[in-house]
Amino acid sequence: MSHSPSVRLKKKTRIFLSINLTRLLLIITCMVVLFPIIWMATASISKGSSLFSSTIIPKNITLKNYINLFEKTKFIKWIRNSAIVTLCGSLLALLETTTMAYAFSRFRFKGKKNGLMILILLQMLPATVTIVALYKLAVFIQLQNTFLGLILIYAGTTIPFNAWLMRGYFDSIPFEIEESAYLDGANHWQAFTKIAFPLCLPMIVVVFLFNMISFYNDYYLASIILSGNDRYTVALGMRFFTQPYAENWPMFAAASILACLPIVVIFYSLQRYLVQGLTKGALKG
Amino acid sequence: MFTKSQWLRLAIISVLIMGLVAGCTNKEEVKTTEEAQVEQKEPATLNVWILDRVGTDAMAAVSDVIQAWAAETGNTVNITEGNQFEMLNNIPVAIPAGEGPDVFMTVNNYVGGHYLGGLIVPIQDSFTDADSYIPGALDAFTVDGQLLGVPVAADVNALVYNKAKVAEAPATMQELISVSKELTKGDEYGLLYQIDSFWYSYPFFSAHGGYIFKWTGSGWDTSDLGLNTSEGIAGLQYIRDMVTVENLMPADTTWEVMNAYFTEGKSAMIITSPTMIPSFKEAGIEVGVAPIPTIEGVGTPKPFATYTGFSVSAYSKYQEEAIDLVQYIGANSGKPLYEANSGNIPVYSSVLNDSALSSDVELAAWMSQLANSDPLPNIDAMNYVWTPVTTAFQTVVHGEANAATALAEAQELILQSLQGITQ
Amino acid sequence: MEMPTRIQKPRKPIYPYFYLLPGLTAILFSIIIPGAMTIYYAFTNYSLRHLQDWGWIGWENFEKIFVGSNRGEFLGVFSWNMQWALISTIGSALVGLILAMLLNNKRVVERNFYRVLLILPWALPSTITILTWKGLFNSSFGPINRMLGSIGIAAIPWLSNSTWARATCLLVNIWIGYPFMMSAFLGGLQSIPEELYDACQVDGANGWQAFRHITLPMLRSIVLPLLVSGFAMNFGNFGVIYLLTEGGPFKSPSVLAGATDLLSTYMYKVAFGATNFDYGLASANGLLIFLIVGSLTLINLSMTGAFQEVKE
Repeated sequence: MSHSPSVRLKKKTRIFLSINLTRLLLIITCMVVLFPIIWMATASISKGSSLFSSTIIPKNITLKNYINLFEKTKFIKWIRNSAIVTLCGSLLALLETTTMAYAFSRFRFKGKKNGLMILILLQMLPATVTIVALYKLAVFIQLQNTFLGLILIYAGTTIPFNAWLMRGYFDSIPFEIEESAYLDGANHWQAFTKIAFPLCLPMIVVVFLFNMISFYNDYYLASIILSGNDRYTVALGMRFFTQPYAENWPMFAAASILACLPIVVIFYSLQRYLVQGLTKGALKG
Repeated sequence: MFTKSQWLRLAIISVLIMGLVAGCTNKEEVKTTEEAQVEQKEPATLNVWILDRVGTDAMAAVSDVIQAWAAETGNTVNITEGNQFEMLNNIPVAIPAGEGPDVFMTVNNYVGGHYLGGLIVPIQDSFTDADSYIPGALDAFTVDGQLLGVPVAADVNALVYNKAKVAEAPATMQELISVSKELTKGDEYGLLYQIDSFWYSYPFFSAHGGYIFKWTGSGWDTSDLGLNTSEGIAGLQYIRDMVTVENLMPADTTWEVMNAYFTEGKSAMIITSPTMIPSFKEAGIEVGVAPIPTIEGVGTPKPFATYTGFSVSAYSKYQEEAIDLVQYIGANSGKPLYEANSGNIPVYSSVLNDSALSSDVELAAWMSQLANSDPLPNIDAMNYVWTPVTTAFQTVVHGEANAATALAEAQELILQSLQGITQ
Repeated sequence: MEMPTRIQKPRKPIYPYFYLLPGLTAILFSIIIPGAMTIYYAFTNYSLRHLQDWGWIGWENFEKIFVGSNRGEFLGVFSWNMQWALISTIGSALVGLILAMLLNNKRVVERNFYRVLLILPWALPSTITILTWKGLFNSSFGPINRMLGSIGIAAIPWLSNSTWARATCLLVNIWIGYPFMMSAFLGGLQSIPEELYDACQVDGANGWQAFRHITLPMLRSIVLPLLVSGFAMNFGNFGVIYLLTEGGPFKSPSVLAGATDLLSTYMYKVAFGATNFDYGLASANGLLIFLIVGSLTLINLSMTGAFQEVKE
């Protein structure tokens, strides 16, 4: 097809317009969306005691809120605790989820038909209510106030939904690849670890990320299992700043900004996989 | 470094010495025999929970006091610091499960529930120090005549003002309102506080004679409510008029707004608790504290007071030591707590006579406000009070309802709910 | 349907259970046993008053919810809770879709930069962002109304009027929820082969037709599972309302529920308000929420077919 010069020009202007319109819309959205975040960042470097400042540009800039965070609270310890619980929990959950999803995708067994759906429905019992039962259970198996106890609970509560997502991904991987391995004499475990698992990497990253973010921000489960300042995770420790009697918004804002950094960094470095994982798993028809 | 057996020996020796010293100096003969019994006992290990409620520095201060007790008595104490809500919410499950503390920091409005649940023990029988506390402090921890905790600090709202804007605190509310009107212009305010909140506005409600439950002298009468009374209605109308007639502040002033404006010097007077003072000073505000002035011809505003204290777990294996410890904390932590964080108003009388503190004008102001305060009912019937009362205050202050109807409805709802509970 | 090739796959009866065992054990301890205990608590008077002597009381807790002193409140809260979950889920999906389509414009070279920024509401701890919104929306002092005021718009009672407060809460919840949807849609959009659009253009279809006949059908399989799980998650949301309005604004005659109270926040007040700890009542409420969310999810799943592959 050939265009006359005027049509081509028109097309160029149209593309130019579409790019800049998109750009404009994105910039406006960013501004609207980031408004509270900028406000919060401002508070973290302003003097005084309130997140609610009446000016967006602080009159007195100070890093004291950040310094206090390290000097007056156990922020570093909380971050360390969070890292332990979040990483171990996510890894354990991943292991349990992957094997389960693989079984649901490749093997035949009793309960395969409705098992996963029943588990997903069970997962919907609100955690705000089961915490008392979880506490008693943790005491019973002597894991109360231990990271291990929390890690086990974290891993368990997220399995059903993630196993469903991951099962879809396994289904999208052609069985022929594993089949040829079987023909070469591999057993099911080798087929799983050597072939299916590596192929599933994008989805594994997705599940890992979902879990990490939700464990990292969890407050409820941590509050019932862990007890005392030295054991707190970041999300739990930060509660200190939101008390009605000791509200210290700038310090809370500073803590939030620091606390979200690890998540942001991990998120962006793994973002590529996130897109791939979500797509393939779900696109399976 | 000491080995285990050396520690043990040291502990035993110190217990013996302490026992001897205590035995020699104690004037009461009855006590001496008790002390002798303690002497022969194995050293106890107590778990103690303390709450961030008092402030980070004050947690360290109270820990020192507790460790000093341990050193004096030869017992061992394991201290866990934690968040108030997290710790206190865990108490009802942790203590029966055997995972709870022997002694824990608490707030007076929790003790009623904890006692009902059989979680804490009455301590009045072995409590020897009752006369040393300021009036009201022990009452706050008393339910049905049982003393359920030892107070260490009080918290109350009072008038906090910026000396650069108001040289001296107004003597009456009438004066405060006229001063405030002069200072209110543009984005600056004379008086600013969370006026639509029952908690913060209660002093003006009580000044007119309003109350929640009637105090019978030994407990709360939950059938006698003081909301829908002519005094209560007048009180709420007075609060509403500060917004609608006097135009002192917008109805939806929040706690955060109040703090921000005071910190930035844009509000001359606020109503707040002592915990906030250090941060105001840090921001360079010349802070003055005064009791909320009287409403001439009506009465003296009485804000709610709450008390921080220590309770003893009913499941503790070392009741005697635990009770001894809470008494020790009560008698020794007032001053260090206040010095670490001026939000902790001391309640132990001798602390107030301490030379360093007796000349503290701010503390004197908090104390005089505390003398004019109402205890927050420490019974769990309060659960059904908050929402109806908050509704009444919010709707009236925001001009959506009139005081008489709103309070009548609130009172009716509370009575209905309480009937539902007792049935 | 199973692929025919799978018929030949190894079929021993026991080893699949080895793969299931770790996951099932974890689920047993963190979901099934606590869940069963909670269901049992729902029929007991386990509370602060009865810590030592609690026991079976039958349907009493449920009676308290439906016919007791709080009757009438439950239904009102429930209907708002439904609206909340529906609007939040659809709203964040819509915002996510629009942003994903904007970000998918490959000619905007710096689009990754926008994506990084637009994902921040998900990465930040929601406690602080919600509290920040609360300050921004204050009607007399909040920066938002001040800005509106400077261009001549009268103050909006964002959080103090019942209807506005509900809208504000939804706005904040959508703000928190859209980045997840946006990421998912972006993945979906990028998986659609460019050729499809080219072919479409050759056929003379306009942008809307391309969107209607290519984009939407291709995204459907991604969206449905996320919408269903998003609905369930929004239905049980607690933090947004608890931190933003505490259930308020309140209107008479409310014993516990305010205009924005959801079942979860309402339940929290019923069971744990003030210093009251009624675990039995809380469990009964939780069980009710569970039954509602569970059946709604089942309906959603069968209506949308999002779960078909699992049922086969």
